Parts: sequence; C-alpha cells; structure tokens
Amino acid sequence: MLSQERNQLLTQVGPGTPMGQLLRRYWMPVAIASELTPTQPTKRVRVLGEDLVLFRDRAGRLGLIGERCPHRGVSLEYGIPDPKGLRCPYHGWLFDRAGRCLDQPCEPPDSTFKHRIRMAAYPVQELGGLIFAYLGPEPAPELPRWDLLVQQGVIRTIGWCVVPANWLQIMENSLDPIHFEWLHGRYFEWVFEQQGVRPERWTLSKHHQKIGFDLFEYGIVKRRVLVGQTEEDDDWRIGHPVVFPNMLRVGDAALHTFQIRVPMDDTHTYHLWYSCFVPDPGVEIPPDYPIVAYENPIWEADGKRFVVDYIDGQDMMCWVTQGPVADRTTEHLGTTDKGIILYRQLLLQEMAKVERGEDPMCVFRTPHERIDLPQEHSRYRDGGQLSKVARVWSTKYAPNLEEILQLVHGREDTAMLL
Amino acid sequence: MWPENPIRFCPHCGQSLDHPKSLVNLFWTATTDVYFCWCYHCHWRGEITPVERVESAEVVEEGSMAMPGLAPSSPYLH
Repeated sequence: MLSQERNQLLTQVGPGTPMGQLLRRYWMPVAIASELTPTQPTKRVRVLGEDLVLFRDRAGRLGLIGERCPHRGVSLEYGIPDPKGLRCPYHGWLFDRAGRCLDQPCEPPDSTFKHRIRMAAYPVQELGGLIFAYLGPEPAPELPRWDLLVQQGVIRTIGWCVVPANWLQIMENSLDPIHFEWLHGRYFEWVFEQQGVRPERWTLSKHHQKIGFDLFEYGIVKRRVLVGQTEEDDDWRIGHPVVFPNMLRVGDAALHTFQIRVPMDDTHTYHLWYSCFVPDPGVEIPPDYPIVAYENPIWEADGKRFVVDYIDGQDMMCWVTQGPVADRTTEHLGTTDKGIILYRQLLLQEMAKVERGEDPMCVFRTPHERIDLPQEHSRYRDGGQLSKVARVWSTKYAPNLEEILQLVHGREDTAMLL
Repeated sequence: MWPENPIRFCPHCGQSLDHPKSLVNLFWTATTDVYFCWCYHCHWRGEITPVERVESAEVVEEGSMAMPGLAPSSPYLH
C-alpha cells in the first residue's frame, strides 16, 4: 500500500514529472519498422505524454517531430514526404528531421519567417525490426544492442497492442512470479473447462515453493522453485530478468522473447512482444526470413469481453481491470509481492540519480556490439516449453506461426501441451 | 485506504521519510504490518514492523534442563 502522492510519482510520465524525466533517459521503441512503407511513410505516435509523428523522408531517413504543424495545427500524420523532410498537407510548410522549418511556399520568397519556426524533434534509430526514439536531454546515449535485437540465426515476430492502462501495473506484473500458477495455470484450466477442452497436463499450474529477486547490473533477476524442482533448476539457478526500466526478458531454449512496455501517457501503454524462435540443432533457416508484425487482441468481437484464451490476453485482462491507473492506496500486498516493492524502490533510486545529474541504470555511453542477458534453457523442467505453448500465447496471432514452427523444427510441429 | 504513516524518520540518518521520493510501502505478513522503507537522503533500506505484543521463547519447564550459572541447589529453583 502506498500513499496517493507516491502512486502519482511512480505512474505519471508526462514532461516535467520525475518519472517522465527518468524514462526520457531511455530509447523507447515507437514503431515496428515495417509499419512505414512507401505508401504509408508516417505514423502518429504518442509517447511519454507527447504527440509526435514518425516519418521516413524520400531520402529514406527517419524523423520524429511534433504532430501538429505550428502554422494552423493540422496533423502531420497526413504529411507529404519530401527529400528533405515532411511537408504539411495544408499549406506545404516543410520540416526537416531537426524540427526546422525549411520552406513556406506561400510566404514571400525573401521572407525569413520560416527561420522563426521550430518544433519538437527527437532522434530515432532502427534496430532489430523496431524504430526507437530518444526524448531526453542531449547528448543521447547509445541505443542498447540487447542480444535479441542483434541475434543471428533466429526467426522473429513482433506482436503489438495499445493497452488502456498505466505502464507501471504492467511492469509490476513481471515482478509477480506466482501469478503464473494461477492466472496462466488454474484460470487457464477453467477457461479450457468452459471450452470443453481437457489438457492432459497443464504444467503452468505447478505450485511455487519459493521465489527470489536479485538486483543485477541491468535490473532485477527473478527466480522460482516449483514443486519437484530444486535450486539447481534453470528457473532458480539462472532466472530471468526484468531489464530496467520497462522490459521483461523471458524464454527458454526454443524461444527467446522481450516484452517491452512503452508508456504513451498515464493511462495507455504501447506493448510489444518481441519473439525470437531458435531453430533446433542442425536445422537451417532461411537467412532473409521476414519479421512479421501482428496485433494482439484485448477484446472479443463484441468489444465487451476480454480475450482470455491465451496467456497474454489473460495478462491484459488483469492489467486493464485494475483500472486506468491502479489505486495503490487500497492494495493489500503480501509476502509474495516483495518483488513489486523492490522494483518500486529501484525506480525511486534511479530517479534520484537523474536528479543528481547522473546516468541511471541501463544508460550506455560507450559503443558496444551486443549486451547479453541471462537466458534460461529449460523452464519448468520442460525443455523448450515455450515453443509448445506458442499457440496459446502472443505468437498465436502471428499469421505465419505454423510455417515458423515447421521451419525451426525442420519438420511438421506436433509438440503441443494440449 | 493508506493509513497514517507511523514511520516518519529514517532510522539510519534521521531525515524525514515523508519526503515523497522516499519509499514507505506497507505490506502484511499474517497479522503483522510491515513497512518496507527506502530513504531518499541516505539510501538506507529496511523493513520496520510495529510490535503489538512482546513475546519471547517458551518458558523452560522445571527440571527439564539446568540453567547456566545456576547450581541445582539454587534457592531460585523449586
């Protein structure tokens, strides 16, 4: 349970807020690269409470500038790409990637008015099929080359969803290991029962005997010992990390994933499921296999019921029903919630570093090739289990999932938990 | 709702824990209130638990064992 003042401090992300200042020290993914095409070279982006437009100019360069034209406030989402930037569709004002106005076609040719116009502009970079933006103070740090973003020899998919909930309750879900045995275990069994499906065994319902949390240089490693396991099992010995401030790394030998939570504003989060399918030993995969993007649904077709027959839909049901911003003045945390408290403390600790003018955790200033993270191989003592549940979690909605499973296994995939 | 916070000052540096960027997070173990605290000023971190009832180990029963420093013939033993 927290005071209202502290709840606001931890959840508000707009310009000028302490949490907004902290989160602006990080490169945030704002789009999937394949979203920008020659016929759709712009995307409206809301991130950390700011409305922006991402674009690719006719020279192929990326830019991120304020959404509204400073002239009459029209959205530049409908802008015309130009070799030097993006033109407003209303009167043709041209803006470059630095937010400078280069041209006002209808003003007198010798006018210097354009030199007085400037709009917000932020650096953007593309890596691993994602487009990242940096909204913080210059100089921008290095874009972290996390292992999965640069890993060779895997097949990637990227799921996305705009979740109508504050980013913190989504992150806190990742510091709560035992929700797995209920939400994705017993609750899933109940969903199966409603559907008339009888899973032979549903390993996700295994009971947690012990959970643990360790700080490490990139965040918090969370660990679990399930019934029948010991501390020698990967789930405890290796664990998997919450990468500070807004990313979960989870996976096993068959599938390595990130879940990235980008605060759009105080009540909406751009959620990405970044999945890397690892081929079986000896299996060759096509070198240029495309990264396919897909939307993960929250709602059934009626727009009222949550989609709860996949793992990530179950998570979203919990995040959204907590309210747009979870009220932590009425929560009742128990002993199994200490990971959540540790994460809150870490946020405040890193916020204090920013106040002192220091770089917080996971801000990198030196060029690097790759940053490796802990990776479990056999979760739940079930080897490459995630490949088996690929049909009941976010990758379920990848239109090419069956083809991917066939490619990575080198044969038709029949390994399912159901 | 968030109760009146009984943890007002950092036990390590004495600064106020009412500072909004310090953390005082209440959680429960069975019937016990536990305040997880982190001090913005000195970075001390710890858990503070109000004590409702002072308890100690069970009383040693007569004749079950000799108490160190007391001879069996001690007048304090009956």
